[in-house]
Amino acid sequence: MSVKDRFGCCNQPHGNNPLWDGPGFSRRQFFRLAGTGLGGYYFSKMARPMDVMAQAKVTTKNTAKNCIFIFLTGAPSHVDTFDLKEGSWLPSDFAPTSYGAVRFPQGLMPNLANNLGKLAIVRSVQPWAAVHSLGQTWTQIARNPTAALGKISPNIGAVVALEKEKTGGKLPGFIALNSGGIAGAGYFDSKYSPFRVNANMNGLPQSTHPGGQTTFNTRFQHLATMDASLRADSPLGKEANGMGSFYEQARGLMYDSQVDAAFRFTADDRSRYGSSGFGDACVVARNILKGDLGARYIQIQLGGWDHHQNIYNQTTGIYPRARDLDSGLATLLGDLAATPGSTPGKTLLDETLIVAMGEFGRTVGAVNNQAGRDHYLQQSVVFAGGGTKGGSVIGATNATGAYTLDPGWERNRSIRPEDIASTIYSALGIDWTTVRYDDPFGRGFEYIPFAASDDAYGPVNAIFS
Amino acid sequence: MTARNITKLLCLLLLISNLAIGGERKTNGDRQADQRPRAARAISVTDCGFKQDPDRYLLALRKTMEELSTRTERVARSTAASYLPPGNEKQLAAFIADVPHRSYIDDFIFDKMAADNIPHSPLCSDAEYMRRVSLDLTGRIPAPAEIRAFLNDDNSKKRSSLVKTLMASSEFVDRWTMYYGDLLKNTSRDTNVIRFPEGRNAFYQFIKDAVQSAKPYDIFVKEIITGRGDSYTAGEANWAVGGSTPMGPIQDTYDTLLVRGATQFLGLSTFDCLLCHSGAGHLESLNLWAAGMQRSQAWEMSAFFARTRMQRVTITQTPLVYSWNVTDSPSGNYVLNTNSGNRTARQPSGNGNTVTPRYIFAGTQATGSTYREMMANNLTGDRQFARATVNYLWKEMMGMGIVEPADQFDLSRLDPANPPPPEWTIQPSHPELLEALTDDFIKSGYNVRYLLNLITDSSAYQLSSRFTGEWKEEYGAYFARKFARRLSAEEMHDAIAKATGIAGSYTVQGFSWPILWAMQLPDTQEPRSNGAVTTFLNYFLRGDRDVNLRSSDATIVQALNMMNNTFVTSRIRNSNANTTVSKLLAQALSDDQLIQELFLSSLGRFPTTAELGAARTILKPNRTTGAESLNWVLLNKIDFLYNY
Repeated sequence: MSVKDRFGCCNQPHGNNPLWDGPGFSRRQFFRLAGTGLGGYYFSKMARPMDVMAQAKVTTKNTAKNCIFIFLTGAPSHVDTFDLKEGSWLPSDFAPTSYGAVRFPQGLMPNLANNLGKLAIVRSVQPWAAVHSLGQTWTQIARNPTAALGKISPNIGAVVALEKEKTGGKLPGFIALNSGGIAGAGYFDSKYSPFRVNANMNGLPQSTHPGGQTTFNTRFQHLATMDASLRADSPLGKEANGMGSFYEQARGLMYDSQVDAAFRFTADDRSRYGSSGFGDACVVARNILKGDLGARYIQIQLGGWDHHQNIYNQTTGIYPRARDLDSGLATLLGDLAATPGSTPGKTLLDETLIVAMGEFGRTVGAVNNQAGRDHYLQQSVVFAGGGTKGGSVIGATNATGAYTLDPGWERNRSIRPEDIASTIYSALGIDWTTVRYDDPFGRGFEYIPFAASDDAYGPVNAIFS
Repeated sequence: MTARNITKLLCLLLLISNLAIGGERKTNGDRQADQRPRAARAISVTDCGFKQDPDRYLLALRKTMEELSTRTERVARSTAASYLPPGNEKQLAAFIADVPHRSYIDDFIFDKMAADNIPHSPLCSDAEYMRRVSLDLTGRIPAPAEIRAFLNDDNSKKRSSLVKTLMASSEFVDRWTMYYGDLLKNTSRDTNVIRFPEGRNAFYQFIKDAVQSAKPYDIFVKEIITGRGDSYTAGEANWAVGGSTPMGPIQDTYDTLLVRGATQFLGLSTFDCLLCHSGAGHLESLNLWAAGMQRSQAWEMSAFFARTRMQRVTITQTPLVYSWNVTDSPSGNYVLNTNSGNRTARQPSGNGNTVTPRYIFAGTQATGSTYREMMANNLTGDRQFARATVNYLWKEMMGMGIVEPADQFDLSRLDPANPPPPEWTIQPSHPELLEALTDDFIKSGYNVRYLLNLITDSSAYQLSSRFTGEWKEEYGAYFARKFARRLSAEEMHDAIAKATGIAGSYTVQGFSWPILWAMQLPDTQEPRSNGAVTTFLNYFLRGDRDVNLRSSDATIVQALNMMNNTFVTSRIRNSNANTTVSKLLAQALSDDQLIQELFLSSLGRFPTTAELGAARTILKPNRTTGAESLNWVLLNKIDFLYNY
């Protein structure tokens, strides 16, 4: 019982088919697809010397300065949220409502319903992997984690941190809020790795010294003095590196009014953002960008969407997750839109691309025998700000949400995680076809695999205004 | 250019080219993988380690070498150069030439370096040795009185005696119980399985008793592989419990048991690959032996677990609490009839649909009363079992295995007398040494303490982490210096506690007494009763024995916590009567004595002249706050944070 989309890819509904059976290709399909670039992974690189590979001549959108990547781990059901499909299974309190051509679960996410004018909803997205860890890594590094360089590949955020590094920035370029085990800096220098913080009203944890600032300064000076003799005496080098540099970076985060202001927030803000961990992270993200502290990519995790069972349960199902997303994201959109950006006439929302997505979608139609939905290779991605066209819907699925009916963008195929990453790069003015030659294997690290050589993937320009 | 220099250059070039060939071959393999449609498909095999973490396979050796080299170089630069002043190359050369050969380990290690003209570090100082070997064997730093006694001991065999003392301690038992808990993945709950604290504690106790009583390692492993009974009372039954694999047919569980057993006891994690597909067309770039293996051969190994039964025994319904009853069924077979689950479809391939168990490495099959007993007898009688164990232990002591990665042996590349095709290198850095250690380990009756004693007693183990001259990454494979490592989470916790005189005290479910040291915790998610300490430990990346491996990376957050976490700062206060600082201040000590004591308790050594001067300056304005600050400084020094 396989469903083929119009590009010949099989989507095999979970439950009836083996877990490993992802999208499959026949040889004939492969050659057909090769033309679209979808088959980029299959291309032989042997015939193409590395030194020929270079940046393709592309024009980036360059409409955004920052990116907030909201990672909905566990994989939300697309047909219950941003690609609503109605049927007898749908609880009435979802209150499907039409906003122009968009049907939206007003009852589930009332605040976002009021903010649809700021959202660009992309519905023709097809992920590659239906297993959480694999899909999550794939989404964050924009390539098959099992491919060459897959595991040393940096998170998109680390690439952004490197590309948009702000000299003298107080914070690392890549901040991960409320995030568990996420993809890190890969082979990049560890200064581009995600700086992980759990948002908390009381500010950045461990950023003050229990003995007070004066004591700390004295002690830190003593520490430096104690090591100074070593550095001078060492037959091998002038500086204590390694852990030493982490200490210097850590010190830079302490007793800094701007850093403190970014991580500390009021009970009032907390309540405006929905009094949730996710809401807290949104407040901190807003503050960090407002302070322009050098952080360019903020990843926020909102997990718990893996509703194999009882998806419509009020307390354990999709409701509480949707409520957190709804309150947090809607308030964030409003606040960023009300904050002036660094360019006159622009708001902070204009300068900040927001992306919200899971690692895949969930099975469609009626719920399974556990009243839940299982893993599925079709999903929706929501964009906002950063030069995107609010109030738009890109792409369409069929009546059930099972597969892409209308890709809705220039490449005329389903959108892949690599395309989403290209879109982020383009918005931030980063050439997604960049190939770096500083990888440990001298193999050439492509920001997006086969983008430069084969134009295999590219930005979804349809989301931009 | 002299003849000697030419030889040196050639040897070096050969070495570099060997490494380069290794690297290039793997890179080519990567490229080949790219061309293969299968490799590019969105395969979502949950348990496929190669798919999820390919660098563990393809890049692991290179990465390990780089990390060890870079880290050690940085740490060594940042530790006190107490053994020799700079500019004393002549004296140093004599020092290096004087390194005694204390056993066959040193013959192999130093003769190879001499033959290839590779320079190495001199021996470390007594104080350095004591701290190093105490951490490596017991996970704790030494106490000042012990250090003094050791430094004042004139006996030329004092390093050997120290090892014996350490191995007789209860701390040794704690540290190696933690090690085997990691290896055997003992948890109260993980992605696939819930043992509950009772099952975890039973397994913990089983391991601890075995370490305590110096149970021969082959017996220990046999008991684990064949463990049966109720998981709350029969600790050894919990190994099988960990193999339970949901979301698939029962064969997935048999396969997991094989993969775990082969990885933990044989260093052959490649069975994980072979259980989904034969080696041909997949593993040529990775493992010569595995490339020639058939999937059906892996099934023959898995089939030994086909009569293992794990049943839940409900204890309470609400909340749901259960133990596991592990038994061996008298019948049942590994059947080739699956087309769903965690692995690719299993279908008959000509020989019927039932797989007969066969230990593929042995001609004559060992017998046993159950399938699992047959497996256990075959496996522990296999030389590769001893070889893999020796290599794991060598890695734990030396920072890098003789075969690296230690869980990816290539059985076709072990024997220099029977070399692989020219595009492959011999896998072990020191093949003869590995075989000699294997022989010795078997001869000792699979005695882990014997082997650890042999290693820690060698001059090879006792080399300094400091290296004079230009360090080259290629020297790493020769073990030409000690590799530095950051203290593990548990070691860090315990070192802070011991240096400051304030142990922890944590309630752990199922223990009627409080746990005082992190190294005594039964798994790496405890103490759940103390969120602050659990978080502190987690910052040091102790892993979860499930999906997150232990890591020795350093981070900004670790630095923030060492500087500011009250776990540290409360332990250096004079106002707390039990701290080392307050006890020392209460004694009639001169400033220099006070400084010496703090150096000894924190860093396990006396201060250098320069450090003594700096420390006096710290004490000057106010002796009390000065002593607190000095203790804080010492706990934040590189040579506290690292075993070097």
